[in-house]
Amino acid sequence: MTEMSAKTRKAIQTQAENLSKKVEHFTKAEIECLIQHFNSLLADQVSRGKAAHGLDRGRFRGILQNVFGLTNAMMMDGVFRCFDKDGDGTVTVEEWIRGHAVFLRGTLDERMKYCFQVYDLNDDKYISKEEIFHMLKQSFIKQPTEEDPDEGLKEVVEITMKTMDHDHDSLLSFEDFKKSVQAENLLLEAFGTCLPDPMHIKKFEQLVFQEQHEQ
Amino acid sequence: MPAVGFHGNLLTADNYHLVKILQKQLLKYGGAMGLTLTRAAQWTTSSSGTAKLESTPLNESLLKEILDFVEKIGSKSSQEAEHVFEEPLQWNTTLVASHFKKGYNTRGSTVKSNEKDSEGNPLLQLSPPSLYVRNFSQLSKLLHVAKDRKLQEVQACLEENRDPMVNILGWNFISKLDRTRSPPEVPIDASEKDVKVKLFIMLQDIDKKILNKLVAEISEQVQFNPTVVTKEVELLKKCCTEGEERLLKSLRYTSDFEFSNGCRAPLWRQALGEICYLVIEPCDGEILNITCSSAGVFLNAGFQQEGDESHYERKSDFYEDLASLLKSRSPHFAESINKQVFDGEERGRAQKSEKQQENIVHQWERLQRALYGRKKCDTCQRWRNLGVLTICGPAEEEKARKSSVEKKRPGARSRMKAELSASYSPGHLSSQRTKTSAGAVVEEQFSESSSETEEEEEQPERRSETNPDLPSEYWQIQKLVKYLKAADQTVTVLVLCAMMELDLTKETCQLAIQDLGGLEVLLNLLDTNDIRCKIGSLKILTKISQNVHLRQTIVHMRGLQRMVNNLDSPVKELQALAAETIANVANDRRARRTVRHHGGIRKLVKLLDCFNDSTDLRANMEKDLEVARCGASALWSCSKSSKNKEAIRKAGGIPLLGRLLRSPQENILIPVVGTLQECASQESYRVAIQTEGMIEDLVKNLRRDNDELQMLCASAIFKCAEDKRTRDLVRSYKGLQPLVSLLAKADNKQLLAAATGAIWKCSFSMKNVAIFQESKALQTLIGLLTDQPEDVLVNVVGALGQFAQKPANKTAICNGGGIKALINLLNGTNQVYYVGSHCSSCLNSLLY
Repeated sequence: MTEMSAKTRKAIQTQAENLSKKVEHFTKAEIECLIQHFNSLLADQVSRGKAAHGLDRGRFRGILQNVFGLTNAMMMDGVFRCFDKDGDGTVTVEEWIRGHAVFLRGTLDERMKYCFQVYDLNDDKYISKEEIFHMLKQSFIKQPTEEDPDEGLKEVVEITMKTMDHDHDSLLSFEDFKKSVQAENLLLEAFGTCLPDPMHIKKFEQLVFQEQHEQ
Repeated sequence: MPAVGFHGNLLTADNYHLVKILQKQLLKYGGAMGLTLTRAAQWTTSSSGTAKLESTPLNESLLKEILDFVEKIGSKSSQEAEHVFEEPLQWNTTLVASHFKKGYNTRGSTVKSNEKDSEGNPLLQLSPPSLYVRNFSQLSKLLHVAKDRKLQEVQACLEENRDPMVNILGWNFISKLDRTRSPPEVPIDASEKDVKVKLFIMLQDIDKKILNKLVAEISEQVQFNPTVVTKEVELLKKCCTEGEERLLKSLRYTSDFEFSNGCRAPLWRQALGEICYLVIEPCDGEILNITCSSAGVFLNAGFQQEGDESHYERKSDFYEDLASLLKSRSPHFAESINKQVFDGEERGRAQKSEKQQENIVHQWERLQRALYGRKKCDTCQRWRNLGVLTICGPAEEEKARKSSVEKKRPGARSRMKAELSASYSPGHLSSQRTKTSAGAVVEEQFSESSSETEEEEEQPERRSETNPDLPSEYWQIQKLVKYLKAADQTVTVLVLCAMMELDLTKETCQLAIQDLGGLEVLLNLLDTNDIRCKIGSLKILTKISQNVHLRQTIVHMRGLQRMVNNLDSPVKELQALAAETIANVANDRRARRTVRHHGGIRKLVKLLDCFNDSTDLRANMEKDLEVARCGASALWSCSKSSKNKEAIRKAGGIPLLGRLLRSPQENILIPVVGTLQECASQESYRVAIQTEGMIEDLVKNLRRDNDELQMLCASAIFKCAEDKRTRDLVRSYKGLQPLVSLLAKADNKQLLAAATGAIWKCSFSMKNVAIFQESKALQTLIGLLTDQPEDVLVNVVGALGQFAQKPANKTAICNGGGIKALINLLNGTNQVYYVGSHCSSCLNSLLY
């Protein structure tokens, strides 16, 4: 960790004070840690010649991949979309902390909302069969012997739709999604991994929050 | 159709059957007009199979009778003889014009009688080869003309006029008579009606006479002969096995001596047609004394006094065979024999050793078919076709397997009994585990004592023949398994979720998953790093591992190792699911060993430790408790093996179980107490249960309103109360009274056995006996001396023996009808030895 002036330190504390009123699940101290961590990430980015007030998409994806073990490009784009609330192409410190509140400590309700948002590619509040198909396209090893290589995947999409689409309109609304996930928690990340697994969370929390203790 | 006919001396089933039918018909003949000449004629023709009458002695005598009748009626020349038939009897004759002389008008080859009816038609007319006859008088004359060809003519006449009554009296008349059973109100003149009725009665009379005579003749030839009886007795003897599928308790001849003709009855009784006497003890009801005679099977008066002729007396109806007599006397027999026909088929698919059983059933059917011409019940085939046969609950499988195990080792049963009395281990009552305590103990016995090869032999072979009518789930599963193999983790989870939507409790689904390679994929998923895939896989595995075949396959596929590996995952849900699946799989005894060999016991015991982080959130606490519950369930299953009991103790399981015993939640208490009572067969556990203060908690849980929990607690006390201090502790925690109140739940036999066992052991202390008496336990126990399963009886008798140590109780037992019940138990031929020995020691303490 780089040396910090008393001034920066003070600024971080105020920032943390403000954010802790807006964001749930974290203590003020934890927010301070997250801010510091964010700043160090940002500093890396700046040192490579890009001055910015937030993390850009590329940098963000790199973190998701290296720190949280997410691999699917489409999912990472979705996660970025969710973090970047104002849609300006960068994730600011506030967006970062808000995102992490769900990412690390979200309740089932919050995580459901988050996942639904990731999966709703065109942001029309519905997940369509086409979107599901699109998200799962890479998930299936195509059998070259099959006449229609996508047949298997289509079938899986159909079956999944049948179990999740409770109002039978061939679209997954948030209500449909919620009902399905409450019945079977495994369906939370139905169409792609977009949350870190417990091991990565543990590692990340150790990394970020223990820095605090060391100081 | 082959012409069976009445081949005189040949004893055929058909004949025998027909005689019975005839007898019955004759019996109700009285006013009911059940039989007519028509029928008699039909009967003979149909039995010959063709329109021709066979030339057999019986048919001949039938024809002779008819001939006699016709000749007589003709010679009387009464009104009846002159009555003109509604329709002429017509047949192809061998007679020619030259035979007819006086009273006939011959022109060329045609002949007409001189006698004519009111309209001028001749009463007899021959236009070769056809002959028409219109009254009995003419018929009689014709027979006179035919001389030595009489019989052929009568035969031809009957063959070609299958319904002579209709010809003679007219359809209208017959149908009216049949319907109203009273003289018909037909618009014909009275005298004619009178004649018709008279004729009808006459015909019926002769009909009856002929039939009676025929029956007598047939009966002489067709007998219920010794070979038939011997065969049936032998078959029935095979059904007097031990175990649940027995049909009868015992069956024996009254005499071992067999005469050269196969009969066992004394010669003077053989003269009366009696073959042998049997004493059969059905499973329900009293002993049956049966006489097998040539006329059939019936109950006799029993053989109390030698030389008393009255016991030969018939006390029941005749039955056509032993089986039908038994069916009518013993509902158990009737029910079981039907069931066995089905069960035998069903089990045959899984059990090599069941083949024998199946053979018996088949032999049985064959014999029955051969003897009595019965139709084989074809339900089995139909069930098979419907594909229902493959759907059979795990419980039944287990039962079937168990019974095969028992059968294999005749000596095992007694050993098992001995073990049972000492360490009664009630099974799990929850729906997933239906195994009974007996099964558990048997399994344990073998797991510790039998070699690998024997175990291999016992593996039931599941028929994997494909059923043409596979249920739709099969194809669905086939597709899902295919996708499972081609998917990444995301789609894998989706496919697993789709699989969970199926009814995985159905055996068709379970077996389909195994047969289509799904089980292998599911187990492989446990080796991956993806938590969601593992959870999904285990969610399916917990359900399908309720099937005994799948458990074995899982063990074969090294599935247990992978589950054990997941027991120390940081993800609680995963731990819990893995433990829960192990709990199912470890009902298989080799699985128990595998769990131990891979360090599973230690890991499972660790799961019980949910008291570490007291600062944990409430939600986490719930998760921890769920993990502990699953861990305890797995340990319960594993603890059926004595080496595992030891391993649990070494891993420090006892104090953890003791802590969980204070949990308020029944769903945790059940596996915990289950494990404890299972392990209480070991001295070290009994000591620990006493010294670590668990008796108090066990007593406390006796009072909970949960049958299974009460049963397990009582069973634990049963096993521990051999120790005096434990007995005293039970008393000081006021546990005796609740034990007595459990006796009220007499319908739950497992609970009753555990409660009576605990009372028995506790009553070794006289102070306890005094408290039991205050709760009126003595009277209740005496009441339990009848109609109870053996494991209850042993305990009750044992307890009474203890109670009887007090002189006051002796009289109470005597006055309460205890002596009589005890002596009845001693007399019961079926009681196992140790019930008897308990009885005698109990009586001893009563008497001295």
